[in-house]
Amino acid sequence: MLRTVLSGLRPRRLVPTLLAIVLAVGFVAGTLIFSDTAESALYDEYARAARHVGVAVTARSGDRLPPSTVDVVRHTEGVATADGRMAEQLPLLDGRGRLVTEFGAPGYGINVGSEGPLRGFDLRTGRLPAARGEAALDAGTSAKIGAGVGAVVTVVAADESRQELQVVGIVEVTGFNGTGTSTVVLTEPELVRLTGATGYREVVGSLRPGADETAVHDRITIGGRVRTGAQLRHDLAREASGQLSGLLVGLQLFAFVAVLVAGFFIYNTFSILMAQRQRETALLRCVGASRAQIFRLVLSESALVGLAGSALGFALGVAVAFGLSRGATLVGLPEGSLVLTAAPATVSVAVGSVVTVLSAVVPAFRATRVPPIAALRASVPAAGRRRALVVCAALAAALGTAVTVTGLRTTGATEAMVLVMAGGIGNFLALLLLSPLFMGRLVAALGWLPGRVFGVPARLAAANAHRNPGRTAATTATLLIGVALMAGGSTVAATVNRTAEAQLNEAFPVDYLLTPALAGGTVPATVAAALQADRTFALAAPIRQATATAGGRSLLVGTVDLRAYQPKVTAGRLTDFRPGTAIVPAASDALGSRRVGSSLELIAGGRHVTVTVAATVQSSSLVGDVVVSGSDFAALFPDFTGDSMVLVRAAPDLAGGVTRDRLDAALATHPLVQVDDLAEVRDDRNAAIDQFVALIAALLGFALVIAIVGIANTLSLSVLERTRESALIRALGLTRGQLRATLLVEALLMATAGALVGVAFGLLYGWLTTEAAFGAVQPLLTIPVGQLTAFVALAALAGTLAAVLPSRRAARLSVVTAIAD
Amino acid sequence: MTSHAAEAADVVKIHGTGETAVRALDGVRLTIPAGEFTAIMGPSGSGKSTLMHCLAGLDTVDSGAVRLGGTDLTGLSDKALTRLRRDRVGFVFQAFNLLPTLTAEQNMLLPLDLAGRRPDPQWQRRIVDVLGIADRLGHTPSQLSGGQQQRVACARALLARPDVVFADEPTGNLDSRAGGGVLDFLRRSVRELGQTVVMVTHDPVAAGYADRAVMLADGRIVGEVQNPTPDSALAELRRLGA
Repeated sequence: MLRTVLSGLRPRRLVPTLLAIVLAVGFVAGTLIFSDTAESALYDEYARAARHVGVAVTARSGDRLPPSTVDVVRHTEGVATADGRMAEQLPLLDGRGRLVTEFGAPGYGINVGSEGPLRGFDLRTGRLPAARGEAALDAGTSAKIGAGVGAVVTVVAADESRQELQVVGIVEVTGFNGTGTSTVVLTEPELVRLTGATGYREVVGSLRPGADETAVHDRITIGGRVRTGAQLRHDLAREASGQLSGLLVGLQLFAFVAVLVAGFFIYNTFSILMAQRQRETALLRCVGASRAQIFRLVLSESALVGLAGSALGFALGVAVAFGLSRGATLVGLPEGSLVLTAAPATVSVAVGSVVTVLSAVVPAFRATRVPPIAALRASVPAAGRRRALVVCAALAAALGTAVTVTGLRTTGATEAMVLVMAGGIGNFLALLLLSPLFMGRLVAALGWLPGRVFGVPARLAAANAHRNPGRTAATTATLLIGVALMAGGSTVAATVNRTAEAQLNEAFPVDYLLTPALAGGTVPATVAAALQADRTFALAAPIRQATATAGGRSLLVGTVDLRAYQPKVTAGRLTDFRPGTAIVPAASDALGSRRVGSSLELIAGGRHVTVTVAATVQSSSLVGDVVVSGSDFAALFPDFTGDSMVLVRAAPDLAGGVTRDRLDAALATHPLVQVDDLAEVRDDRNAAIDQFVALIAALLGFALVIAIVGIANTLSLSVLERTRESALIRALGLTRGQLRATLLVEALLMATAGALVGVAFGLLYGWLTTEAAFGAVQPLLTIPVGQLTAFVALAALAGTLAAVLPSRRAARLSVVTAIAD
Repeated sequence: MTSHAAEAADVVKIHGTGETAVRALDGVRLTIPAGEFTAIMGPSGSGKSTLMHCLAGLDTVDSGAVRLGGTDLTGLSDKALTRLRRDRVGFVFQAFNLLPTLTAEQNMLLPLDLAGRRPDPQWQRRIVDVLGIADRLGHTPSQLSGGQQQRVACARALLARPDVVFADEPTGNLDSRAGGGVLDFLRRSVRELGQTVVMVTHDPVAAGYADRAVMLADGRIVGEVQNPTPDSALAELRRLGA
């Protein structure tokens, strides 16, 4: 029997199947290896802080360790050396005197340390600071503000004075608040002088050879949190994976899509292959092979092919991972060499083999059910399993719709989103199952126009795409999955962008937002006063915020000039707002069961103020959970000085550059006031959205590659099947070019149909997902028409490209031999 | 003006190369007069199908010349040959004559559609009536019997009023009654509609419908029977030792 299996493995015939497996496994393996690599690179980055550390004492939050701690640790039995690590907020200004921030947070200063091996950073170029006025800068910030070795940078000391420092070195360091925070390395006395540091955040010690970490750990009994080096590394790793989790979820999604697409792809190729070998199978049956033998034959063949394809695919995956990790450094992930573990190899090879064997089982089973004589005679039409198909689809759709509706009714944004997406998967499965029923018709409908314009070849193409709906559906499934995901993603992105923009514009019809750079600080009241006196600014409205309690729950009470705050009202009227009343965002927890007219008692520091809800509004709680009048706020918090933030609007007819310069000038004496330029906020958000769209584009690229191979596979096999048919029309007067055109149009129609259905589904679920995610806020559904059109056009182009080779093969056919056959 | 619908002059066709080369046609000289029903007969491997393929512009010759309705086919490009087949030749094959995705009528109109021409409605009605397929035009091939399929193929071959209709064993897959119907139609299309038909067959009964039977053996013309009957055709075949 094995001899028959091996003789059945004709290389040429198995190329499409093998290609399918290789590509699919390659992607799965690539994603998995890349996850491992990215994870390990990030762990390495974080682990820097734990290098050579055998024991660490960390200060409690907000606390510092006294300088004596270093001596205590150093003199503990088993400790070789010890060093103290300082980290204090030290705002850095860029060349134009603006604060350097990462996610709105200013940077830190750290001490250079006295024990080289215990340093939490690596020197890249230059040297470490050794004297007053010298500093080393982290590589990221150095690149960001363009300050290399030899440059002079300005920091803001604790007394708000500006101090110039000479950059003498560039270091690699994991910022105090994660990667990206600006970090200035100073000598310890300089750091103390600038920041007024009173002690260490952490004291670390290395151990003498042979000393036991746990024993040393147990000997240290001073204040602070004592951890062994292993514990520290473990905690750092957890922090790192927190950073990575978003990316990992994305990659897992990729891998999941890859497996799904691959499964379809392999199944499709195998069923076509089996259909073509029906006669061969029948012949085997006629000469005495039993059903079980045939079944085993197909299974062992598919297992062999599956294993071979998976092995090759894994090799491809290594290459894919290499490419991905190169690309990842561009988006700011740390660089690292490839990490190859057993898991990706096992998983991807298992997926490849199992999916291949499963894909072979159904057609193999079908092949054995055909009576041998019938199979020998001519092509046997595939037995329809319509009812089972429709029942399965109906079940999936019912379940999917139920889950979606539940999701839309759920209040928690995250759960709602997850439920809607899960419902989407159910409905998508139903769509895939039902696609044989409508895909053919859709293709025929799409073919109408080209049929009119290009005549017979296009009409033949539409008819061909229509003749085997199951195969057309399976071929387009890959594109459908890819395009649906992309259309959904870009709809979500566009809707989020527009909704956020509208919310920002509605809630804050302003140009700049001034906030304190340091946590817990305020913007001096003089800032708002100075800006109000300047004609350049139409508005400078301070917002004050403080925490009070109401009904036992703590909430943020804010007050603001209503000229700068015009949110959309959901109930009541803004004009009713006066002392003694409050405006409450509809989504705020403070509202509870209260409606317009209900009263709300606010308590702070033993003072009570009761307000009546004048209006509920549709906006996030940027001002506060409860917005009260200035006098009520003063009554509740009499000791409050300064402003929590200032909203600034420029005079209408001034250019952005002019107002920004005036604003920077006005703030020159207040370096710790941070300016959020809403135009920049928009740019940042647009950049984030662009990154998301780029991710979607990567998915598109992947889906297109697989789809091209899939369509090419189906078409080449169809070309083989239709040899005599092609010969007939060639004899009747179809030119070579027209025959080629027929196949190109067939592919074009299939791809377009798949892409259109995908766009429709993606649009629907993109909209539902944002509906669920926004909760009380009404999202503004935005259809990214340009992008969606581009997806369909790209898919159509890819489909046509896929048909190029098969159509050439079809056109090469010799009429006479095919007819005589 | 020539009254020859088709003509082969010293046609040589070699299949394969080197030691396996076979002279499928070895100096064939043949004229097909217009308005005649010619049968090409011969045993398997005699080269009769190859001769038809060469006459119809489906295959090229290695030496000699083929003329169809006054056009020299030797040296024509594939595209020109395709056009010629589309506009001036009709085909009826033994099997697989119709595209499964098209209806009977669409199949019938296919060559004209390809040429972007409209059928002559009177001519079309006449052919459909003679063939008795008027009620089958909307059916797909899978809904038609073998005889009906072959009649649709005949209608397709005649619809463009070609210079020659080539029929390659048109009754090979049919029972004798259905086959008789198809042959009867081919003869009527010559006698009543003035068409020219060349039929390749090894069946003496089929040859009995023709005006002339040309005998082929080993790539050469070895005999000819005017107004053959099944018996005279069979006798001639026997004489050739088939």
